[in-house]
Amino acid sequence: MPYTLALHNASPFPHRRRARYTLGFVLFALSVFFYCAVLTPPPAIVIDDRFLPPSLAHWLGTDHYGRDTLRMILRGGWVSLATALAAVALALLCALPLGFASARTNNSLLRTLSKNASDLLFAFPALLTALLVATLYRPGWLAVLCAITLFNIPVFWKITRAIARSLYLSPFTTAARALGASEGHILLKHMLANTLAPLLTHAATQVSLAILAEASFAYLGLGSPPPHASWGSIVREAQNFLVFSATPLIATACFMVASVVVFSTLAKAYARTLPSRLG
Amino acid sequence: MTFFKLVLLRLLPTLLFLWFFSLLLFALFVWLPGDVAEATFGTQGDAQALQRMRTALALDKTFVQRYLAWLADLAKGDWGESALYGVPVRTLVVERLPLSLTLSLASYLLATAGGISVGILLAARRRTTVLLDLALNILLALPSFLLGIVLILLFAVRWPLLPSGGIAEQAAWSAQARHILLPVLALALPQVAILARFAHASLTETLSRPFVATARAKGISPQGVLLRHVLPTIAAPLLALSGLQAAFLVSGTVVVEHVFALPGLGSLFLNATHARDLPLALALALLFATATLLATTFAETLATTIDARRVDKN
Repeated sequence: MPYTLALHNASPFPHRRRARYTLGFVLFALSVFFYCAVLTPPPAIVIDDRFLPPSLAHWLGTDHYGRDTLRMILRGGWVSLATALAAVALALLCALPLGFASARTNNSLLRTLSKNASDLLFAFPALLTALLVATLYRPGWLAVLCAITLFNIPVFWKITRAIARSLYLSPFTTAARALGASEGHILLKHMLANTLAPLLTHAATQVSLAILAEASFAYLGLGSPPPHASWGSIVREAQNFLVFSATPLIATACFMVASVVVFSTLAKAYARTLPSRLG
Repeated sequence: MTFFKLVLLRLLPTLLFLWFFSLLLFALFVWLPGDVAEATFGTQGDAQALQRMRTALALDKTFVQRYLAWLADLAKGDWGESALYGVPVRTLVVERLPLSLTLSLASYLLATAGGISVGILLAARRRTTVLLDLALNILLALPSFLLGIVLILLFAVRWPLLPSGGIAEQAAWSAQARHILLPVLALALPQVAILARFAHASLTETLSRPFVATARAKGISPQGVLLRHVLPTIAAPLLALSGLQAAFLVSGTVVVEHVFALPGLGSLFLNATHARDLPLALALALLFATATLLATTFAETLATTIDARRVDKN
């Protein structure tokens, strides 16, 4: 078996290198977004400079308040990506115990319950959660975060359960148990260690979906109010001024699509580094 | 397993989930600070007047009594009154349902037909599909509102072929269709991409299995193998996936109706949210959740009747 694998995929390292480069790029972009959004003041409003075309001073021109479009987009990137990453991380934290618990149990009622609950949660539209939280509480990052987290929980729950189930039944867990390892030890050293890699790989895919979802919610006006504009809210505003200048909308759209592509590339690159039994 | 038992097995959890959802919604609604009586009187109500109104509206009953009364009203078709529009919620829903239903059904059919065809095309010809693959990748990375804007810019502004939004004033069938064509495309294309990806992957996987080689060796034409052996094999998972598209359809309807300024249920929900019209939002949430989950359950049940192995798939 190892020989056929080796023949099939002569060296795993190009994938690994590609994955690392992509991850490095993501971290670099994130720190640029963070720097622009948190460590520098927002771009000044200069009404006389409305709708300027791209120039050396303003690389992507200016928007309807005369603000520098590029800096607005970089600031928006932090809001969009931070929300998407936080939601996916939160969902992962909620889903891990659920997945392990439902893989561990031999109670058939609990197993049916966990299967049905995750299936139904998965079929529940994320936008509905966002709309409900926005109605009952108020529109803002919390509504978006709740919706994306709730949508991602069943995704990770199902994956964790499937992987953990096969791990619980695997010989090395039985061996560890026979050698007197405690449940906690098995959980941390065998289960978590073997589940995390495929889960994180899938998390990259989910982040790209979460960026799309966040953009849609913000576009509908369910996200943070104007001063903390995410990419979706920038498009929402720029659409009204399309006649005067299309640059803000097109540039934001490009950033949005690029970030989705980068995260799915990251997921694909890491998926190839996984051992085939887990991929 | 009889068909009846199968339906029960699928339907029961869905109904339980929906019941729990309605309970949660009602609890949030009741426990929010403030009630109708306070809202009506504002700062001018004295304690007696407030009490009288609460008694009149049965707001002083226990939670369980109020919940049961609410459920009974829902079942009778009394879905409360919209605070924003000042008319019964039911009237609003009945008025706007046809448009949203047409939009989602048309794009569902288009997405399913298109997705499976593109998937077959991708699986059949391996080298000449670079452009198609690229188009799918772009569609997958494009949020639906952006796709809507792009479609408007292309087909309503750059080449003014189709209206950019709204509904037709004439009742003529062709005028209605012209108005709904771009929204349907904006809603269907991302799902075409998802279904095509899935169909492509499962087709490629199935085509490499030994029974396909056997069928070819027996002299069945490639088309025959595809139609009679491969497609039935992937039908069940495809059907289940297309049922899951119901969730995308609901989210997509809201977005697309907003982009194209269509007076459907999605834009109604959005208006209700922005105006904090609680009775309308709650009724619509229940309606959307019920429609989505029942559609998904229906598709899953159908998939299970096609392929009985799905029953004990955990």
